[in-house]
Amino acid sequence: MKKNMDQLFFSLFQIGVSINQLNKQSEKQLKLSMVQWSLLKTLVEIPGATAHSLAEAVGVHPSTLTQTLKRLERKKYIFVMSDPSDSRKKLISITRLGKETMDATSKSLLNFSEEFTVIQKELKQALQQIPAEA
Amino acid sequence: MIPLLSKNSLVLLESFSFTRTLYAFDFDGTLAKIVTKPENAFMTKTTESLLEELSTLAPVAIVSGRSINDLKKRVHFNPQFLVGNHGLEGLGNNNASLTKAQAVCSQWVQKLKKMKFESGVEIEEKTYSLALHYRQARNKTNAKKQLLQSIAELTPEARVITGKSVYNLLPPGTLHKGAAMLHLIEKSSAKHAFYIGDDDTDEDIFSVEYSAGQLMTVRVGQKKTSHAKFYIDRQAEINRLLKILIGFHKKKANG
Ligand SMILES: [Mg+2]
Repeated sequence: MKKNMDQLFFSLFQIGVSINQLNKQSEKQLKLSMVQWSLLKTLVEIPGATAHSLAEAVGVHPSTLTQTLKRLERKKYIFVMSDPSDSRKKLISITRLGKETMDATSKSLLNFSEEFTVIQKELKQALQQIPAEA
Repeated sequence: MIPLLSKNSLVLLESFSFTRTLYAFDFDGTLAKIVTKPENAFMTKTTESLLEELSTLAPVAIVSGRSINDLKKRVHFNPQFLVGNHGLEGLGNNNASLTKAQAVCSQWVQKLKKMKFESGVEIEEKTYSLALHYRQARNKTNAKKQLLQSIAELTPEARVITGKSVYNLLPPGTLHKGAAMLHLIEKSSAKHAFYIGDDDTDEDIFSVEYSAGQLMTVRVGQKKTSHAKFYIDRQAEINRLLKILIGFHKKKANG
C-alpha cells in the first residue's frame, strides 16, 4: 500500500511539472498562459467582475490572482475600474484585445497535441495508482 | 454615478457584448423625449431605426408604464419584448391576476371621477393601472396635493409610483419594474442585462439585486440619490448610445 501511495504522489508531481511546462509554452507561443486564458474566459461570462467574484468562479483565493491580473492589465487584455457606487471595489472587464487574444489562443491550443499526449499518459498512470477505497 | 459615455465605462459596456446580454429601455424620457402631452411622445425616426438594428444583433426590450396597446402605436417594429403597465403586461402574466387588476382600476376610476381636481389634471386609464398626470395643471403644487389626498382615499390601497409630473397607481400585489426586469432576463435567456431609464419608476430596476449575473444600470440625467451606477446627460444622447452598442455587436460579428 505504502509503495503505491509513494508512486501516486510521484506521478501527481510529474503531472504538475508537465502542466507547468505547457503553461509556460502557451504563454510564450500564444501570448496567454493557461491561467491567464482561464481568467479571460471567466471574465467573458462575468462582465465587470470583482476580484472576489472572479476568484470564486475559478475556485482560487483572490490573493493568488493578483499577479496574473496585473500582467493581464499590463498587456491591456483586461481593464480595471472603480465600482461607481463603491470606489473601494474594483470592477474587472475583459477588453476587445483580450477577447480576440483569448479566441485566437483557443484555436491554437491544438498545436500542443504532443504535450497533451504526455499529460494524458501521466494522468492514466496516476489514476491506476489511486487506491479503490480512496 | 459616473458617465456612461466615457472611455472607462465604455470598456465595461463593450465587454457585455461578448456574451448574451439583454438590452432594455424605458420609453418616455429615454427612447422618446418628454413632451407636454404624453400622447405626443414618439421616438425620432433615427432612434427607432437604430433600436431596430440593435434588435437584430441582441435581444431588446422596451419596458414602460404605458399599456401594450399604447406602446404598439409608438413602436413600428417588433422588438423581442414589449413590457407594459410597469411589468403587468407582456410577461405572460396569468389572466386571473389581470382581470383582478382591471376590476380594481375601474373601481378607482369611478371614485376618482367624482372628485374635483385642478384643471389640467388628467386621468389616464391603462386598463391594468392608472396614471394621474399633472404636467399641464396650472398650479402644480395644488394639483399634487389634491391627487395625493384622493389617492389615499382609494380602496384597495394603491401602490403609487411617482414619475415625472405623474402618479402611477398599481393594484396591490402587482409586479414592479424591478421584478419585471428579472422575469424578462429569465425569459430572454440572457446572462446579463443593460437597463436605461429616466425617472423614479426606474429606481425599482436600478436597485434590484440580481445575483445570477451582471446588471448594468443607466439613468438619463445625473442624480445623486439614484441607485443607477451610470448616467448619460440627456435624452438626446440615446442615439449615440445606440450607435455604440450596434458598433460593439457588429465588430463581434465580423471578428
Ligand atoms: Mg421614463
